[in-house]
Amino acid sequence: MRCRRICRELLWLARFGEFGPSSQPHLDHLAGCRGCRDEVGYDRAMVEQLRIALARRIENASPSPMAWEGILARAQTPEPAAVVRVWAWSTALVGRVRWATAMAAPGLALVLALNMEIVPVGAPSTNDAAAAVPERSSLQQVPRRPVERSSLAYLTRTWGGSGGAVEQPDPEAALTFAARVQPPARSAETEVSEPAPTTELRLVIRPLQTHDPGPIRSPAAIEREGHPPELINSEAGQPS
Amino acid sequence: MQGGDLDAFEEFFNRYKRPVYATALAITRDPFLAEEVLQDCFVKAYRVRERLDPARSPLPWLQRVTINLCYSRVSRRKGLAEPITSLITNLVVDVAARPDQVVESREVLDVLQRGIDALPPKQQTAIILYYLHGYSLAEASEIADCNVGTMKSRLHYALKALRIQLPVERRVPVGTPASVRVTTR
Repeated sequence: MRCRRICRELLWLARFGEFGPSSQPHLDHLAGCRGCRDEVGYDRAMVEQLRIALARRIENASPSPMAWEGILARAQTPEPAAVVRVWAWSTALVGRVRWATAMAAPGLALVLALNMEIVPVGAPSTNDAAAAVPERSSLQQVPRRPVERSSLAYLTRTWGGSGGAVEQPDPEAALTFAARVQPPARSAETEVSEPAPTTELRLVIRPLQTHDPGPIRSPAAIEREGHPPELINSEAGQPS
Repeated sequence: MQGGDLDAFEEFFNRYKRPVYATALAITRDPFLAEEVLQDCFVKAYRVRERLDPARSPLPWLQRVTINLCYSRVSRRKGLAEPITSLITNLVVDVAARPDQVVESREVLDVLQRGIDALPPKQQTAIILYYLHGYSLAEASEIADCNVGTMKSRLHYALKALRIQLPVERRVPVGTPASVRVTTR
């Protein structure tokens, strides 16, 4: 076991006083490792100081004699009616949701004002690492909602291959969202004759590549394996 | 007290006022606010007296109500992180050789006080119950309405967070020679 892990477990055991027969290997390690002794000692010292810090918060603390009188007076007054309590509760609730509403409203207004539509466009092909953004054709496979000024944005996600949902999530695949922003048509004539250009904003979420890329090969070795020299040049970042 | 006897209620108050007030003061750090919380807590106890189980200690219930009342009153002070950072840079150091000497310093206590304030409410509650009141893990978890494992986890993360607030040179890996550790002033 690594020293760092033992140290972490030692800290846990020491904090909660859970040393037992099974802790003997940890104690043996502690006897021989100065670093772990320092760590555990420091932790214990910190906890002691924490106790002091907490105790200082309540040093000589005692409620005033008036406290009991206040409690007595309030305890003897009748409890407020249910209507009053409901009103107080609802007021507090409104206060809590106010911020959330304040944040959501501009976002919704922006979506409506820009005539924005957010659609899932699937993941790009994993064979092509450079193709982080899916092909145009994959966008076309998704049934588009008619873009209207008043259309609400909807947000869904799709795992899987290019342009379509699959049953099993593919860990290699990227998650792609596209937001289409179409400016409102200036007049009915321009809309018929010349559709307004649509801007597509894409968000591609790609999992980290965890596979082993293999040993680094020299260009000469790649050439020996039969790859054309153009590929070698392009991989090296040189113009072919 | 169950029948509304005020003398019994006064006895009840005198018996439990200190731990309740201590919890409120430890969380709020404001004697006036702590007293308000104390009053609210005991008024509430009086109003629900029929529902309190006489066979069990009311202290866990009182503590739980106190904690909830405190956090419903105290707005979380978000601006604490910045002063802590600036304070750490001015700390007396040389932790590597004698950690116990460093943690004795007043500055460390100040850092800890601020660190406690900056903790999330659940972790703050955990350290107050466990380290201030000295409740066992089982008692503290009952008051905090969670299981023992969760309570341990909260304590662990609270200590970890407090430790991060302490001098930066303590964060180097275990086993690094003291001479390598860099002092920040």
